[in-house]
Amino acid sequence: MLEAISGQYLKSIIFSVQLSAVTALLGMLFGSLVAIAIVSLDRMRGLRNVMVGYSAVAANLGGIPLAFAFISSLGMQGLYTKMLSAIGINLTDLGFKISDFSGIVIVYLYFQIPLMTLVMLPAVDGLKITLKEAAANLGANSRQYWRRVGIPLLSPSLLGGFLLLFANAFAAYATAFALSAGGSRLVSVQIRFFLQGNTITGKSNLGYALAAWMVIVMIVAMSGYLGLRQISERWRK
Amino acid sequence: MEDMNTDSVALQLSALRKSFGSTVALSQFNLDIASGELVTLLGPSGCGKTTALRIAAGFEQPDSGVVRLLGTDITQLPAHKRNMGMVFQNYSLFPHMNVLGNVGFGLKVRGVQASDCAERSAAAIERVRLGGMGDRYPHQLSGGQQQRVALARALVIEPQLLLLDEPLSALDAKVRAELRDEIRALQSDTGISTIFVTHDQDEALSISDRICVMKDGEVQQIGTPREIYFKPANNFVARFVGAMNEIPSATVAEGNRPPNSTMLLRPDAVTVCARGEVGSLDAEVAGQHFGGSTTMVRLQLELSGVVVSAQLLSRSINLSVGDKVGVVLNTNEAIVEP
Amino acid sequence: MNRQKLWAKLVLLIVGTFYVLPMLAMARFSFQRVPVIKLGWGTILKGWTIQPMLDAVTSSRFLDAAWLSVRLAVFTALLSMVLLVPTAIYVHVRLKKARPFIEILSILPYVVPPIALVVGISGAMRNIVPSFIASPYSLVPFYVIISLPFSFRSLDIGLSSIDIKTLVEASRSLGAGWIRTIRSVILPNLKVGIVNSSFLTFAVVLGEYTIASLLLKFTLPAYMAESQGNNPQGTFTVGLLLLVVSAALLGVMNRFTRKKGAVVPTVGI
Ligand SMILES: Nc1ncnc2c1ncn2[C@@H]1O[C@H](COP(=O)(O)OP(=O)(O)O)[C@@H](O)[C@H]1O
Ligand SMILES: [Mg+2]
Repeated sequence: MLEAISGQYLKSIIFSVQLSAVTALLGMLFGSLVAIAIVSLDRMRGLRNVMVGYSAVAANLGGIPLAFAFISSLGMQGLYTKMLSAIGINLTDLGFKISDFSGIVIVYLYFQIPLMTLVMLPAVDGLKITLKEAAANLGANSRQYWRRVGIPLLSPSLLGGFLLLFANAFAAYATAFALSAGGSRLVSVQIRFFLQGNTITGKSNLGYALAAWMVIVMIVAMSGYLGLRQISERWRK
Repeated sequence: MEDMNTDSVALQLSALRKSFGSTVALSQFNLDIASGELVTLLGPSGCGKTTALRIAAGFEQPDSGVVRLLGTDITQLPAHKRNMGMVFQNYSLFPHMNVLGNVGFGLKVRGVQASDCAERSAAAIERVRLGGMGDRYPHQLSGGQQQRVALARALVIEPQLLLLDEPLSALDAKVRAELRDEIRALQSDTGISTIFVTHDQDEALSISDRICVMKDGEVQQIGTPREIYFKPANNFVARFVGAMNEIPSATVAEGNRPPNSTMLLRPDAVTVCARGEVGSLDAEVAGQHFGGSTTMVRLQLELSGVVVSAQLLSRSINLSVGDKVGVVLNTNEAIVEP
Repeated sequence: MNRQKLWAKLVLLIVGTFYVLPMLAMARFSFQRVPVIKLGWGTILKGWTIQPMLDAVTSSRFLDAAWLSVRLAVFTALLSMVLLVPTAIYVHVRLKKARPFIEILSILPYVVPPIALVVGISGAMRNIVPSFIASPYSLVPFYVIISLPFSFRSLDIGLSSIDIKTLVEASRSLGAGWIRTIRSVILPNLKVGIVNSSFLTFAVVLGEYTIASLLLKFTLPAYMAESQGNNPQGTFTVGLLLLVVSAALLGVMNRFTRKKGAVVPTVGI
């Protein structure tokens, strides 16, 4: 157990945690904005259906096909890589590489944003219009409403969504594996390295230990998620 | 042309019109609220009461017409600058704040100092008889208590106008009557001009200084509860407020009635006597509906077969179905419609 | 008001573009035989072909993998339904108090990442039933587990939306026995839930790579990982195909489910 949190393995755990945190944070931000945008444009009926439908699909995408889509977009030979370099923006010079931190973040956002949208929609729907009116009636302007009512009311869902996204990214494996052709520093990919199918490498215990640490991180994240969900459900009544 | 007596008029709604798509929610809506007065908007569901209230509060813009507060045109003023306290049917308390937080909200956003704010909130909570419950959360309160908090929240900002949209509809009968009286008492004490929306005529009759009866987005009659009850301006008001018998004039052998008209008569203007008394019609008891202190007796007139209802003191009668009795219609109180 | 709406439209536009662009690039790469370097206005219409896709989908490796994936998906969906439908009904009718437990159950695959799951179970099984791991169907139990939150959630939502308890009581009080109650009252009402649940299970199984690769089973995603090198275009078309199929499954399911935001099932990739 302890070897698994030392040296390069600790680094890979930290790398995974950082990656998950960053994608969860960005996913939370954009996903919530999308949810709020959908609700505020509720008059446009079809829009909501399209966005919710696509989000349900995209949140479940991932794995190898998604990696392929991004390799053909932003990989070394990607369509947009070339288009950008045609207008003088060289992604490689900017330190961007699809198999690296920045690249994985962008790819993960493809399923993190829609997942957050789906998590937040019921909460944003639950921000009853009458609460906004009650606040306005009591003299609150739009900014005061969001600061004192809107965001506090959404905060359990926001935080819960963050933890869910974190866990989602932390467990993800196939996408990163395909992006990096097996060479990634993610914990999940490292575990795989120790447990090549049936062959028991000398270090399979290390694999088990890493897996156990993964579960521990996940339990912490998910119990937080469950607790927060309960609070927000009580408020929504 | 400004209104002549702006001093005593708190709120003036003039010629309001509002439609949603093809639905006309309000048309030619005029209403003045005198200061310190409690006016009720009464009408069937969907007649535009909420729309009128929301226009007053600034949540909806009228298609045309003017809203004046103390003589100033506020039609374009955003809701949060209007200083009106509103109480919603579904309470609309902020679920993440306790009672104190909810009540203090309006003061906080006005930048009132924390200590002052706490003091005034506590006083308001005391006034709606929720003393000691300041740190409870909305989900820990009953419906009646939640509505009290909403009331305190609306009153604490010392609004120029109090707007109540069916505040009692979600409550059970006993709490409803209790809170109704409390609202009235609070309103009289504070002297805040108030619009009270309800579809319940009993509520309207008991609480109001004046009632504005509405139908399909139009005002039918504005008057004191007595006027509305005893001198309804038209059939709709007559039928909507209080129970009403509709009796074909031909049934009543009296020369001065137009032959093919209908007579509207309140059940409390119908009395029962022994058969054959002077001026009575022969009838048979067809059914009765015990309502506590009074009983509603349904009587079938023998000549015409018409059924009339009589509201009688329960203590004074002892009837059963099939009894042959006499009925006196107190036609002086009748309203004849052509 | 208006400014706020503009802002909302802008957000949706940006995110929508982000959703669409990678798919477009992938489609181009799959169907156009022109290296990105040579792309320009002159070549934009040249070289479009479905030959790589045809090569890929007619290769025996692909067919083997696809056939295995489909079988696995069907068996997983069947086994899931056989296990979950009675459980879900029982929980709803008799064990309302088990809801918190269900909440936990429904996020189990998040708590136990697939990679950890396979490490645990296969480690144990290898010692007990060595042949278990060898069969391709050894994936089915794993897949039942990892699709649990999605499959169970859909059933759970389906049951929650119809107040099953009252229905059962009404049916029983009218003299129907248990079998009859389930057959003619519960199942017809649960149809949508069952369809949704099966579709989701399908989508999960078709895309699952982690466990398959660890247990060295040759499923569709494994095929894609393998042939990425020798026929990249063909492989990408298969990837695209898989995306379209999953999207279609989920899309159909979404149409079935009317309840807003009720479907939040997500695959821990
Ligand atoms: N936001 C809205 N959109 C469309 N129609 C509305 C809206 N608000 C009210 N209406 C319609 O306007 C009419 C009056 O509604 P309302 O003022 O709520 O009636 P009340 O409060 O008297 O029951 C109804 O026919 C209602 O359907
Ligand atoms: Mg209303």
